[in-house]
Amino acid sequence: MTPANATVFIVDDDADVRQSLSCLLESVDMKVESFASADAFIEAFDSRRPGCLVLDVRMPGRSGLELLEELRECGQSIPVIFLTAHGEVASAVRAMKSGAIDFIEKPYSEQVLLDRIHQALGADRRRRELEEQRAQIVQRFHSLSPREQQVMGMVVAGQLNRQIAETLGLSEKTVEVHRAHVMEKTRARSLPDLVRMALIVEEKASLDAMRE
Amino acid sequence: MSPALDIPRAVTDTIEHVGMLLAAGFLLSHLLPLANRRGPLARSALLGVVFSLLALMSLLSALEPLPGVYLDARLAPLTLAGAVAGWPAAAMSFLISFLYRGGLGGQMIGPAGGSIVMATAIGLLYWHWRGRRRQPMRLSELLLLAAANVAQLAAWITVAETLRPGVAGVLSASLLPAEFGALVLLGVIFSDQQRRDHQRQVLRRSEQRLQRALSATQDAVFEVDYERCRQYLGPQLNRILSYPDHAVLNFDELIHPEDRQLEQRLADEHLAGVASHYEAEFRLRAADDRWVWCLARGRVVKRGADGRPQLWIGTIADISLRKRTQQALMRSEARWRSLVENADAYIGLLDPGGLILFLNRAPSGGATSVLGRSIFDLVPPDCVDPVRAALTEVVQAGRPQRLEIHDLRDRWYVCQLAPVREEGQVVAVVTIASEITDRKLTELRIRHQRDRAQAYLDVAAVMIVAIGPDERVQLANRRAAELLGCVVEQIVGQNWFDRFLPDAEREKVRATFHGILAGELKLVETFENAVRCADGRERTIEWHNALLYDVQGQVAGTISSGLDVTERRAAERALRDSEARYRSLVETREELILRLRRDGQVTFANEGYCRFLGQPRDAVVGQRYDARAHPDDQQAADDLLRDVERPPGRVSREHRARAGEAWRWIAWESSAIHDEDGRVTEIQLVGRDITKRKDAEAQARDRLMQLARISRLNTIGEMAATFAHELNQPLTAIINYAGAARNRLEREPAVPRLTESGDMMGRIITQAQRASELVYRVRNYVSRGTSSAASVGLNELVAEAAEFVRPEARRAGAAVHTELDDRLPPVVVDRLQIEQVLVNLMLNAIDAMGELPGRPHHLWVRTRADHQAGEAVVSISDSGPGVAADDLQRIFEPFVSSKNKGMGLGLSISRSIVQAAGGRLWAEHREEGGFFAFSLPVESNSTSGRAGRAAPPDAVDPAVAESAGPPGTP
Repeated sequence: MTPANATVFIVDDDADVRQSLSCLLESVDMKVESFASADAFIEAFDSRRPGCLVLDVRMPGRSGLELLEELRECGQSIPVIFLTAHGEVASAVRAMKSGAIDFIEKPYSEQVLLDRIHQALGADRRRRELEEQRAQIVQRFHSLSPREQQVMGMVVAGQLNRQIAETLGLSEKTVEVHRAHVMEKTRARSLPDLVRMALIVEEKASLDAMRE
Repeated sequence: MSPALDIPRAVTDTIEHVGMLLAAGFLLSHLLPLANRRGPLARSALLGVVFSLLALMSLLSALEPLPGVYLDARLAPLTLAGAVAGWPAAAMSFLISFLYRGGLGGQMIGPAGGSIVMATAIGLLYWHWRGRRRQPMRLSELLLLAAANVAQLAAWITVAETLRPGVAGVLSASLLPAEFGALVLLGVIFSDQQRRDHQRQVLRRSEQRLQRALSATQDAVFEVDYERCRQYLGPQLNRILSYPDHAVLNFDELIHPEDRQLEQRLADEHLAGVASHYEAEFRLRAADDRWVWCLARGRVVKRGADGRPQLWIGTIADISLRKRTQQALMRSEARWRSLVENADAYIGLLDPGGLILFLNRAPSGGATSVLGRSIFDLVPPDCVDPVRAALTEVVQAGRPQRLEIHDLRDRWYVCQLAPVREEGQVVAVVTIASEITDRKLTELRIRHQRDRAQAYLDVAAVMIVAIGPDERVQLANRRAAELLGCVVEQIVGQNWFDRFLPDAEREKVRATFHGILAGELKLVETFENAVRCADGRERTIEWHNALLYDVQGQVAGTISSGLDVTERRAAERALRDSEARYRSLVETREELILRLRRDGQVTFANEGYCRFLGQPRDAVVGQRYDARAHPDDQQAADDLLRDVERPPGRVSREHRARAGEAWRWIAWESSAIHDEDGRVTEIQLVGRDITKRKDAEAQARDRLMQLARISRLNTIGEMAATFAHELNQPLTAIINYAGAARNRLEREPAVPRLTESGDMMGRIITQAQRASELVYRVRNYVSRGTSSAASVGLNELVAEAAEFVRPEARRAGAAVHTELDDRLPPVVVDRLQIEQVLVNLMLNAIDAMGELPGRPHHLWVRTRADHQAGEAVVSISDSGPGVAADDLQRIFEPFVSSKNKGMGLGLSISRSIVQAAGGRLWAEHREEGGFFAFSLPVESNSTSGRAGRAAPPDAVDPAVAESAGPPGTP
């Protein structure tokens, strides 16, 4: 159930905790990489590698929370599980707000931890698939000619062929051809499918614009 | 040309010339006033001009006559007009000239004579006119005239040269002196005229003055003119002698026969030049036959060359009044002289220096003549100074003096000195000395007796005053003077009541006095009233009075001896006041006062004690006092009774006593009361209700304990939290390892014993989790139990904490200062917790300053409101070594301490507390010493229900807050 290539990244300053956690995860055949500090993790981190991050909140230097916030700022959406001390509800809440998917209070049941890690890895996988899918859609969209993009935009906006033809000064026939090309190139199965794709593209574009 | 008359040519020529000259001169002189253009003057000048012109023309025609033409004839009407205008003389002169020429046919005489006559006439007219106005000719006019004449002379010479060449030189040579002579003559005439005018005026004014003077004095004038043998007596003499004005008087008939000879002699002396003035007094017979005393004064004002008198003038004045006064004076003087010379007393006159100028009779049996001797030689040595003083006073101040002196033979005189003034200056001193030897002796005897009596009085310790019926003091002794603050002389003779009694008592005492004198009141044996001293103070005097009787047995006053009882009365009054005060103290004050028998039975209880118990006095007295003591405090109550019997006889204890329903604390002080033999008879208890103080003490103690407890709890809590975290790490590792081990064991299900091991691993995990839970539970229990947030004033907390640490600071030699922002809004915090933070920080600062001993230290606690951030900020700074910049974060970690003793939890705890309250706590690096500050959200901003542990989530974990970096500089 765990993807073979997924890695659990552990960041904890306490060597014993780090090693014992690695042991535990490896005992269920997980791929583990552990780091003694946030800085060390940032240095080695490659966003293309699938996996999840287990973070201790209380660390000297850059704290877990800071690391999380930094990752999110850079647009990294790797799932993060926080390990918090018992009763540190407040920092847990703050961590969730900052985009952690989960937090586990120490001391924890090892089974609970493993379950959460599995969930996180699943989420990462799904996220990556979705990313992939979106990238493909965007790529397909970019393969459209400008005229086809124009037509697609109007189709998605709910205009009829006749209206599009009138607006663009084309014959209805030509519009139909363009439309067919659009459906073909985007591999949209239906008009709602096309609309969904268009939304994804739009979202991606606005995200990119935001990031810039 | 044949002269009609045989006159030499030179003469006629001269006359002709002079006439022309004069005519021309007057012409010019008349032009001058004409220039002034003033009324009549101008008119007369104009006429002068016209006639002068006519004269000139006639002269010119005479010099060069035109055949058959008579210029003069044609001018006849003008001449007539001149006559009509009031110039008959001028007209006449012209007419003469005309007649001479025409009628007589004289060729030379005519014009020359006419001119002369005319010019003379005009000149006369002119002088007349000038003289009439008393207007002397001005020098400028004279000069102009001279200039005109010279010019005219030059013209004439020119004409003459033209007509008869060759004569001009002779003419001018002969004419010039004449010309100047004429001018000089004119000048002399002018100046003489002027002088005479002036003299006449002076004379007239002098005459008038004299007249006025004489008429004012009413003196008569006499004048004897020896040249004319005439005698004149002024009309005033008629008035003086009451004769009618017109009567002619003869001096020799009027003079009194007795005076005639003297007058004659005086007059002769003067007339002969022996006496420079004539002055004589004589009697003249008046019209009514009485004799009038007259004074004649006179002088010869004019004497002939041989010295004989020519004119003798003078005045005669009526001096009968003065004469009468003089006679009266002489008679008076004679009377006085007789008085003085026959007087019994010595009457003398001294000069200001003391020389005797006059003495009416020789001193009895003394030197024959004392005149010219000094008064100081006549008096015995001991009288010199008083006499000199009196004399000086009279001479300098002009005040009469009176003194008593005695002579060398012990005869006494009363001597009066009075100034004699002349023109305001004291020039002499009149002395009158009467002998008073008998009186003096009597007086001395009396004084001697009186002095002896006075001496008796004076030694008396009481004041003695005798007062006559007229209320005046007749006698006072020295003690009275001392008491009243003045000398005896200032008392005797004064009105006793007005002078020495205070206003408030005066009339009452006076009434009593008169009542006694009149016999209406019984003599009051002792009587007390106040007297007023010289310095205004009042003294109370106790009087013993007795009546004085005169020889007739009449009451002649009172004599009183007075004892000064001021101090005694004051002491009595003070005693009374003091007693009253004590009584009121005992009765009214809060103090509880009891008297007990030795067995503890109450014999007296004051108002305060009864009030304190809420019971009537009857219910208290007779009861045992210790029955009311709290059962736990019986020992203290016993001590108050038992220990007081031992020295020092004074015991202080505090115990509770039942007052109504409540127990109240009383601080008692018992003291033993001894009898003469030193035995304890009674015990007095004085107590104070100190319940309030006790309560306050208890409260303070509670608070202290509370603070200590909080501190303890906080320490445990912080330790627990730290331990929990630190313990958690190995526990987590244990769980992880155990989990890993179990996972691996579960992979081998075939081996049963290993499965059993897997179960054991599960149990390890469970136990590790349990251990962890346990730790947290302890921590939570410790930290959660005590929180109670409320709205408090931070300034108040700071002030309390500052008071709390002040003794500690004093021990460390540091002064604690607070600077509190009055406008600090309240904060919602757990009061004790924040106080703990404040105390922690201040004690830290004091400890830090203790590391730099030997210099004065200061601890400042400041509060301020940061309205923008909605925070109240408290800063604690000290003059200690401060915090190194690198340590600013580290010092807040648990178990980090710079101190030898201490766990290093103080700052950690403080930060936890502040963060739990929603604030921040930080340190700053300062050159001058340590600086710590914390902020707390103010109430207005914390209405979201933030309280105690329900703090904002981002502030609970110290690590989280720490990671957020130090807060910005406040």
